[in-house]
Amino acid sequence: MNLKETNHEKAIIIEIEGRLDTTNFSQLEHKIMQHIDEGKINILVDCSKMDYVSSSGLRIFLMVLKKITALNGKFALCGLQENIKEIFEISGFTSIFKIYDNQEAALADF
Amino acid sequence: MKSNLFKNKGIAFRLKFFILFGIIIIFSIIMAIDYNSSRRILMHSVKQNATNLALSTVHSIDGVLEAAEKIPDNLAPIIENSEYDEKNLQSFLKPIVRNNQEIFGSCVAFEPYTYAKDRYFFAPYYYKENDSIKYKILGDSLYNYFYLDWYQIPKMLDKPVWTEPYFDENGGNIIMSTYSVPFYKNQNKERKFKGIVTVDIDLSWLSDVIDSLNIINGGYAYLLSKRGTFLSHPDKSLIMNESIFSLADEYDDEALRNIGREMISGKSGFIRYNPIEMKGPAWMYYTTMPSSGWSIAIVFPEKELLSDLHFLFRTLIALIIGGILLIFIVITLVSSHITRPIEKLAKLTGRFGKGNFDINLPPVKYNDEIGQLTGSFDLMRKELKRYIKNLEETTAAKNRIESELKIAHDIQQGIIPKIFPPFPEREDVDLFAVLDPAKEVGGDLYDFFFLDDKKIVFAIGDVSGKGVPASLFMAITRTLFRAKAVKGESASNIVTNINKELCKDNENAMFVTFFLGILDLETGEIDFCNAGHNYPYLLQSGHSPEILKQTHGTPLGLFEDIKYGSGKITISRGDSMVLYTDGIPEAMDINGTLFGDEKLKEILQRCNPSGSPKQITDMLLAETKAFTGDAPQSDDITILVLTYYQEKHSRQNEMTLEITNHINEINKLNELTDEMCRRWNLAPSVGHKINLALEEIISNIINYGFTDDDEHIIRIEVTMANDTLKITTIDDGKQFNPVQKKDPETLDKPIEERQIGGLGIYFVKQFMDHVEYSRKDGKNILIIEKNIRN
Repeated sequence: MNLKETNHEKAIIIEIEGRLDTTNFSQLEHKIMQHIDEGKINILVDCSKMDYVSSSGLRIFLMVLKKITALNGKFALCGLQENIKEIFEISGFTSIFKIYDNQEAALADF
Repeated sequence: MKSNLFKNKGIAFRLKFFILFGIIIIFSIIMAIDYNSSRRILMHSVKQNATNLALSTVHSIDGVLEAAEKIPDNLAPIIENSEYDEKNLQSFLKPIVRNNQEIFGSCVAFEPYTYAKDRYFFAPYYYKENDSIKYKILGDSLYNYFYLDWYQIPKMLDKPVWTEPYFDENGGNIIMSTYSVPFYKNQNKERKFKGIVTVDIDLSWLSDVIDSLNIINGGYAYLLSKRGTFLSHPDKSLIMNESIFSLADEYDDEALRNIGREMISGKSGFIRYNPIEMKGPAWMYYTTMPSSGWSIAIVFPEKELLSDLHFLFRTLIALIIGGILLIFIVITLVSSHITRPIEKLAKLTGRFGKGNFDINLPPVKYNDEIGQLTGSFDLMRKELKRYIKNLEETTAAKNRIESELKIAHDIQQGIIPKIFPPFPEREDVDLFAVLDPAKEVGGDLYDFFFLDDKKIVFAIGDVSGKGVPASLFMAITRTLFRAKAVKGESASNIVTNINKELCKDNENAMFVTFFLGILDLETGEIDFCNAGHNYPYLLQSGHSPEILKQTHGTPLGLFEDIKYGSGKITISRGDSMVLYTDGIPEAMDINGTLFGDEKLKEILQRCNPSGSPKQITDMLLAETKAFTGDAPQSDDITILVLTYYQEKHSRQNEMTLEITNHINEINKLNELTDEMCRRWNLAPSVGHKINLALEEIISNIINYGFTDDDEHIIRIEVTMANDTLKITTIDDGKQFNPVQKKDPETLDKPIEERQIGGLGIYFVKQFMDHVEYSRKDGKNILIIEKNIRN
């Protein structure tokens, strides 16, 4: 997994590339928590290049969403691949996450 | 009790306690001895004094009495030799009364009709009355003197006698005693009693004599008559009215009665007794006067006698208590002076136990035991500090090495083929292998790959030694094998090339036994080279296992310039070749017995050569493990089995993967899934779901299945039949049935109520067509199934 970060004026954009699983989820967790600790609570995760996610990764998304919602910030996802979308649906995540088709659509809402 | 008393007390307390205890004991013994001997001396002197006092009193009283006795003693012979004439008698008697102050009266009493034939009574008597001397003749019907004691007793006894003292009512109401001397006359040559000569003594002076005795406070003296009557006593009412016996009766005092008996029987003594009238015991000296037979008793109250002694001892006790207090203070000062540094040291060294070694010990003033102790402690402190620092560094280094070893283990396991069957698309050949290092990392290796479509090269090796150096050498060997085993090269050339490279810069002179074979799958010919390795076995249907007893040179890494030879053998389809390292024949049981080649051969005999290589490997490994039992594994164990199948051998629709309970092993699941997709042409979405299900199951086992830190094997078996993929996971962790686990209840809830976690198992159930759990032989067995065409 590779994590790429962009500092957009509206939000921090984190791009996940590759597999997000039980062996590497803590990297993402650290990265996002660091931003939250610094007060950057508008975060967009671009999943267009993420081709695998397991429950460990979903756990991080849910945790971050809870935290940022409590702080009145905004957390959104975009560019989910078909396989990933299916997992989100089964988990009931589509109803609680703001999910956009691409970065542009997401940033318009921030 | 004792241990409780001293348990939490310091040395100073014990020192004080024992010294004071000792001093008190010693002083008490000295006091007791001193008191007893002082008392004995005192009593001796008291007895002496009392005796002297009594004897001098006796002497002075006797003096008076003896003087009085002489008068009638002298008068009686005179009367015996003279005529009985009243005038004559008067001339004797009157001067006696007149001239002797202590004589109250004197009398000559005659037997009836002795003085004259007509006189029944005749007793001329002079006596004192109101400072004048009176005369009368005693004897009439009222005063019949013949029956009175003073007349009758001497007459009967025929000797002079002092009478019992008595009140003389006739004479003037005074106490007196009469000394009577009988007189006789010789008639017809016969001595005949004629009468009595008496003197009366006034005894009032006796009281004065006794009372004037100088006796200590509370003491007194008294005089007893021959019958025990009191003649003198401080209590005047007792005089002549009571006797010692009547008093004893009154008080019912047997001791007093005994004393009385002793006294009137004429004995002397110094005794201790308890007088009724006194509080506490008293001492008494008594003795009897020789003349009158009277007894004198001198009584001293013991309390008074010993009062000086007691005063002396009270003073002494006060002094001793004062002394002990002084000693106590001195001991306290001395002991605290001695123990303060020890206490300080104890308090400071107590912190050592809590791991604080940076404290400074109290400075050493004297080079005494405490000084030496402090020195020793300081040395110990420094040594301990150094040691602990050392230990911390060593432990840190050890932990680092352990974690590095763990990684090395994973790397080493990663560089050998682990997915079986390795070439499922090939129907003509199958291989199976295990590598079980004795330590985290080992020096055994195996490897195989296709040189081209019809030639497969396979190798097994065993590096000298064990552990990290061996594993590094093994990695080099395996890399060289991959590099040098190229298409077209013969077995001998490959081995020769590998050896050449290994010998370069091999300063530690490590070596590796090596067997390399190239199987031509068209002809069944094996071109092989054995560089000092265990001989492989050839299993052929209908034959005993055949040992391939050929060597083509020394182990690799020893001599650079060796040109290795090679051997050739042709095997038939259905035959298997079994390669192993010496971990098998040299496996030892708990008694040190070797597994041995015979047993190896015997086991291989039972194997089906055309069964699967996995069966042969499993059987051999199981037999070896059963043989060693609980004995620790002494060497790396590696087995590689190659089976050369019929061309129409059914496709191997199975895969096996064994991983350890380390989270990084999860990555192998991805490779396994990729292999499944490739082999069975699975849709990416199906592969994705299988990968997800596998990760959730295995990460669950790795994260929560084991309560110890040991390494555990998790086995994954995959089979494909009738378009249904069946994956079985087997682990020896704690019992966990994911089928029974409830699905998360908050899937449709708003974010605030959503649970974090619990999704993994839910995914497995959602994505798989069938999930089945069982527990067998302490192992969790989970089967998941997925129809790949749906």
